[in-house]
Amino acid sequence: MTAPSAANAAPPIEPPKARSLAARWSGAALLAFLAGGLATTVTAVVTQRLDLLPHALTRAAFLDGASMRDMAQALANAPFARVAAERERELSWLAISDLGPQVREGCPGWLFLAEELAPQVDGDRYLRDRARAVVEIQAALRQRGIRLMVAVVPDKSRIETQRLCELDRSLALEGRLRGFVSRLAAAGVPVVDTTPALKTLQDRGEDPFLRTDTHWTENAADAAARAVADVARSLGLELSPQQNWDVVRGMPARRPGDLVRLAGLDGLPLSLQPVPEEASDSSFTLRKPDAAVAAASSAASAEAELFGDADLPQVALIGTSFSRTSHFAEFLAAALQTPVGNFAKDGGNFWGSPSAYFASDAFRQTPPKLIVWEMPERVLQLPRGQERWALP
Amino acid sequence: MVFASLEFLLLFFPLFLIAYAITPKALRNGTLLAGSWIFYGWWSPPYLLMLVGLTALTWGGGLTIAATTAPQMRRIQLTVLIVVMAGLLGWFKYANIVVETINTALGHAGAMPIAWQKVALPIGLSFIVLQAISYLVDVFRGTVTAQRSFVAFAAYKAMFGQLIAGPIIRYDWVKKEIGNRSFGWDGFGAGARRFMVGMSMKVLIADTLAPIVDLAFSQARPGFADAWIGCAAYTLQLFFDFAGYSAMAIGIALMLGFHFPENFNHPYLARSIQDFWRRWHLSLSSWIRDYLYIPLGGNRRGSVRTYVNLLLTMAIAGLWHGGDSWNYLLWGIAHGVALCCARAYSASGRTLAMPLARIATLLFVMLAWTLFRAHDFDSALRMLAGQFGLHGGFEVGDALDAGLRRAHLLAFALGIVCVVWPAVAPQIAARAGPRLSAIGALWPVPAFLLSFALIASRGAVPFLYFQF
Repeated sequence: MTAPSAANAAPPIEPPKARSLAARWSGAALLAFLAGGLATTVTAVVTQRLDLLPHALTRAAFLDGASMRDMAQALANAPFARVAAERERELSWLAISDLGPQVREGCPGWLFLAEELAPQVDGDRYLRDRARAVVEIQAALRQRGIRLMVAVVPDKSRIETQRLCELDRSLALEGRLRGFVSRLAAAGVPVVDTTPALKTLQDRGEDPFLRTDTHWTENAADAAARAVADVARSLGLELSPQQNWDVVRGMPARRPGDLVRLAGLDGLPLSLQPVPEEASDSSFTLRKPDAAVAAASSAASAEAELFGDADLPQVALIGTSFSRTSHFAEFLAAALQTPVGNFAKDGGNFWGSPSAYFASDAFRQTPPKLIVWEMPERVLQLPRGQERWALP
Repeated sequence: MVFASLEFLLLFFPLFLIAYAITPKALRNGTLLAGSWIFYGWWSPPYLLMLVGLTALTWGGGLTIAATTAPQMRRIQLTVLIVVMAGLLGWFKYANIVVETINTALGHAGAMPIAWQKVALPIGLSFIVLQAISYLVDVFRGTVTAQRSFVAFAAYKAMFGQLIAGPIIRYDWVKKEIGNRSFGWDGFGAGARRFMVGMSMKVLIADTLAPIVDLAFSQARPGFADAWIGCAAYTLQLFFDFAGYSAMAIGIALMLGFHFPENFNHPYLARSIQDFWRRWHLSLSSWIRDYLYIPLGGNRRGSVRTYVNLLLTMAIAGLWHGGDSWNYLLWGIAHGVALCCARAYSASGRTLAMPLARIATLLFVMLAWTLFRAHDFDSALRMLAGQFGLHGGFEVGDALDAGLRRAHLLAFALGIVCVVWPAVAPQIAARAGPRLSAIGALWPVPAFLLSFALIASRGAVPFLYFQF
């Protein structure tokens, strides 16, 4: 019984001497690599800079392989791996202008999230599921005396079309936002599409979105907050306490973009990164109420004061990083003239923030009168996973 | 555990090499066995029991057959062992799809479906079973002597380099080295270089193309351009993934003192379908030839029987590949039909011109890969319809357009260059001087380092052949 042979394979192109020399060097290189990798990993573990078992090692976790998966994930933070990953991203950018799987460059310096540019498989089904879930959640909240309104943030690539240059945004995405908004509106859910507010800024010659970041500028956040506040006021809710803020626009300062970080380029010298940008950072100061308003307000809240929650916000904001950047929550509070509890979560996509908020003591013990649910357009068609979209 | 992972490269492999190096030569099989069992049990320790059980059964079965003199009894013993092993493989691989198919039929008939908890396929079971059967048959035929040491046999069976995705190493090929092998610098260096080459094939080309393949094959109505890009990307991905794994396995074996045979020989340069199967997954094609095709009668019983044997052998080979879709069976049958056609064509005395023969062979192989890769028959039909232009779309579609990056195009180009390289290598070698050759021979080192950086950057991607 003979082993299969590769007798008719093309001969190796290197002469035997070069080959054996290369083999020796390869052996030495691999040994050095393995020794270096092991030594730095063990050192990191011993000095407690790396925890290979972040969760307790239980029999069940061991038997189903969870402990080993934990270890594999933890090793991404091993010194060798971390340095290698950073260098790979930087080298790919410098060598072939590659921004990794999640980021794309449109016009020079303008970065976009790849997820925004193409439809998801079965995206329409997921969008319908989400719309249905929002309608059901609204009905459930209504039974508890809580109003829900939705604010949808359009994709950066939908608004900043002039900045796409060579990038193509799929035509199949054209009706995504409109489809979702009209489904909610038809079901009686108050919904704000913030697109017109952002377009107004654009008509004034201003970019509503940051160049190296997924998010909107302060002016766009302010415009969107006003549009949301207009619809919230039309719901006829009496929101207290009434408060006003003085907003002072800060001087523009350098703002590291999240897309630069997502592309893994934030470790590079600034001169080698995509062109950095500047953005203003406003400050919000609570205005002192005048005496008459204060007296009326304190009488009205006497009963509430008994339980110590007179000044608690009656508006809760849930959503994504859009609610946590460019002071959107503060602009919303200023536009509504009442404090807003911000329960949004960075990277929470559709359900991260709502699921955490609905399960929280804040929601159970001091339910708001109004919940503003901000959601970015790009999350509407994402695959569903195992999430159960309902009130607990 | 997979080779192209942080846990393998930063912990397991260096620790194993230290242990292997400090173990006295006589006890190295024990170290190899312990390391291999840790390697196999890493993801799911309970499956290790199955591996140990199968190893014990094969080892005991081999000794029993060897100790039995009555031919009839030996045949019965062998048959029982093969039925048990094939039954085990059949259960794990096909129970789900058989029940699914029955439930579909019941659904059409308006009957209640069978309640069913999906069976998970233990990783590498197909390879483990084929290896066991080849050992038992070889002992039965008297071509190998049954191994008396359980540790030595278990070390052969579990050798982590080839345990999970082949090559399907027969005992006969490594029996000398199981008993006596050298662990030295020359073998280590050559093995290291081979390992680095394999890692580069897997990570730089196969894993880079993986997202494009996924995108193309997940479309509801892939256009002509998308379907062909997806199919071509998969053609490269599958080869570089599997041949890369085989190269790593061969490299690891060399480092430890074993010599594994080659598993691939430039299959996309094949001049016919027969030639393709003489170049693709050699350890499997030689296995099905020696343990399936020849026992069925091969081509010794007339032309009709030869065609039947060809079809049957390839259908079984297809079935061996997959348990989550009937597409694998169809793929095997398609190759069987192609082998029959090629045989009839060459028997008629006609031949195709060489470039045309190569193109026709590659085209058929690619279309068959579409069947192989698609999740189910409907997806395969959609993709094939796209490839035949039935969905239009002669420009790249939105999804692929958004997904394609320079890195993918580079991997594509690199893959194509590597595929045609053997055809042009001799001319280039003749022009390159010794210094250039020496520098050129060192390319696996930076390629390996870049591969490691990519693994760290994007996480480990499982090998395609793990599912088989």
